[in-house]
Amino acid sequence: MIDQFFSALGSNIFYAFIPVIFLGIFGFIVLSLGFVNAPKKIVAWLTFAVLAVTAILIYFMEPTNSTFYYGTFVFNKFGIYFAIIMLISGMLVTIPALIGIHQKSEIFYSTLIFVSVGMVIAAFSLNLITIFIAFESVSIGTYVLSSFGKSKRNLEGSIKYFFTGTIATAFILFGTSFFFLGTGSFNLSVLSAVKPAPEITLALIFLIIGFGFKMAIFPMHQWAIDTYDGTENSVSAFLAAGSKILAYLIILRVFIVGFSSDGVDVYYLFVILSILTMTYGNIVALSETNLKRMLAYSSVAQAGYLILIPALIGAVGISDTSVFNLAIASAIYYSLVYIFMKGGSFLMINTLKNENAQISDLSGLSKRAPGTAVSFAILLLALGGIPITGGFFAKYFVFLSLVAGGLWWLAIIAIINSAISVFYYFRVILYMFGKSPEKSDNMILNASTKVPVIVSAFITVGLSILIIYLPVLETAAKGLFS
Amino acid sequence: MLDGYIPLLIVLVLLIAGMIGLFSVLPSLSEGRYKKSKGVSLKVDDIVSSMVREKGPEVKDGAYLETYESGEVARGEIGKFVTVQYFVIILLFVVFDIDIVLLFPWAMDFKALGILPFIETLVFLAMPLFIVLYAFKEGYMRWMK
Repeated sequence: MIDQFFSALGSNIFYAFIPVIFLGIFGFIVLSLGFVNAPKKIVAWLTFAVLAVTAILIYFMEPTNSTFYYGTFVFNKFGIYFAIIMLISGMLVTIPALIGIHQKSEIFYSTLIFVSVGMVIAAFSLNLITIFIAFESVSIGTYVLSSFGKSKRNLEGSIKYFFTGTIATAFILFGTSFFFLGTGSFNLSVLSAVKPAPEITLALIFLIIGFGFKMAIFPMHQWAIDTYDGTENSVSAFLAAGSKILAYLIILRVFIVGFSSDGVDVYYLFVILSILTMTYGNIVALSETNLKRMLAYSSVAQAGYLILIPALIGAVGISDTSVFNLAIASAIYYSLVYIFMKGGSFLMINTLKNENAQISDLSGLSKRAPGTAVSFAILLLALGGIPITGGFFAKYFVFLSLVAGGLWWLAIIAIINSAISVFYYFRVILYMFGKSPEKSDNMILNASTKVPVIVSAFITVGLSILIIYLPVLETAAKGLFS
Repeated sequence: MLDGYIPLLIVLVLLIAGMIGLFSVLPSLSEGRYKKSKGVSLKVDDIVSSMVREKGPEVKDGAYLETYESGEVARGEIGKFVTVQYFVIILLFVVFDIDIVLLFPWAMDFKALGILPFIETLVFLAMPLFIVLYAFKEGYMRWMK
């Protein structure tokens, strides 16, 4: 009997789950730091170390293409890459979050770790039910995270997120049941959808509503604006970066693999949604004067660029390997750069005292903190897709894969949209560099607010060097199936 | 190709018709109850005029305005505050509840499953119990602290 237990410990599946188990155990350890009233700095750095060690453990995991538990889990390069990206997005907000937390820091940080557990499991899962459970653990954790803070605005943002999020959850469950009706299986594999049955179309619509909600795609975006605006800056950074990339990973898995036989519907749905999302996000952001809401609308527009990839794969099909590999590689490169440029921009708002941070509050920043001003300008330029930043190459490869797949008109629409977006990013830069300071005491300029922005700007520029590894990313792209 | 969609379309139309019937026509018919002169009228004009609330319902008996028309007397007031302590107690109850529900499938086949599921169940039990310990230590179990 005991031998049976130890032989199970020696099996492959146990080794594959070591990072997740490690993360879970340390989640409880971080929570138990509350018993001894540990200072919040120690809790934060322990969380940072745990997330970093988990990322390293996952990095050294041996990728296999064989599936475990009847096709439920697969530990391949694609999943490893996305798991590391999402852990990094957690690490990015761990230390800056100290500013907004005043009590019970252990709850915040252990919730962050448990959310990361859900993210890692979702990255390795090929089964809709497992994906749903992991997705839901992330959702519930982020409801808790978004309510942290002192003011009523935090609670308002959290409540809005919670009520709309539960509705989206119901849609996912409905879609999953329709998927089961159409295919007879919850597993996502290339052969699962045999023919485009009406149930499959219904499942497609229900699932895009559910998962697109978390990604803030156009008709389901309004929660994002209010929640990012209402929550603490570091939590908004985590929502805009980590949980959006999680939804993107799931969308890539579900709609490219699970609906591979229904490519035409996927193509039409995602093309329409991405054009609407890009255009809406950019046009509304033009007239926004609230800095945080402007960044929120720009993150809606970024979701529009991200979902160009499922549209492209729906159009060209998965058999065209060269276009497919380039498209998926550009998608995973985009999501890496996106975390730093979007997360860093949201962390920048920590420097402003005003709760309703206006763009004009930033005026004259270049004279008071030149390094921070230049870093924020770099992040904004990366979001707009201007060269020398990682953001340029990310957009470049997405558009290149669109042209390679024959969707040049879609690439033109996306380029026009990113030209519009440059306008409102430049307006912020104009305020920072062109105007003189209005008030002297409207900013908190110390190391804890400045360093995260500067670090993310450095990484955003540094990531442009990573494009020489794009062929490596292309090998990871194949891991989408398996 | 469209064959499969026709039942869906029919279901959709029936659903919308049913919704209209359930939420608009039936309540407006019941309002006719109190118009003593007319009674329940199924004429199209009367249905439409009561649907758009042209005249407004003539309410004569008090029971129509009660929360439960069946005769159950509602107690208390709607504007009363409920203390947030109830919420934490409910959450702790849910922890135990989920625990027990998930133990049933394992307990059904306890002997045949062997040692591995037993240890897994212990680990599974330890996780919610740790949360309960945390809640106990932090004083959430104290009533009205």
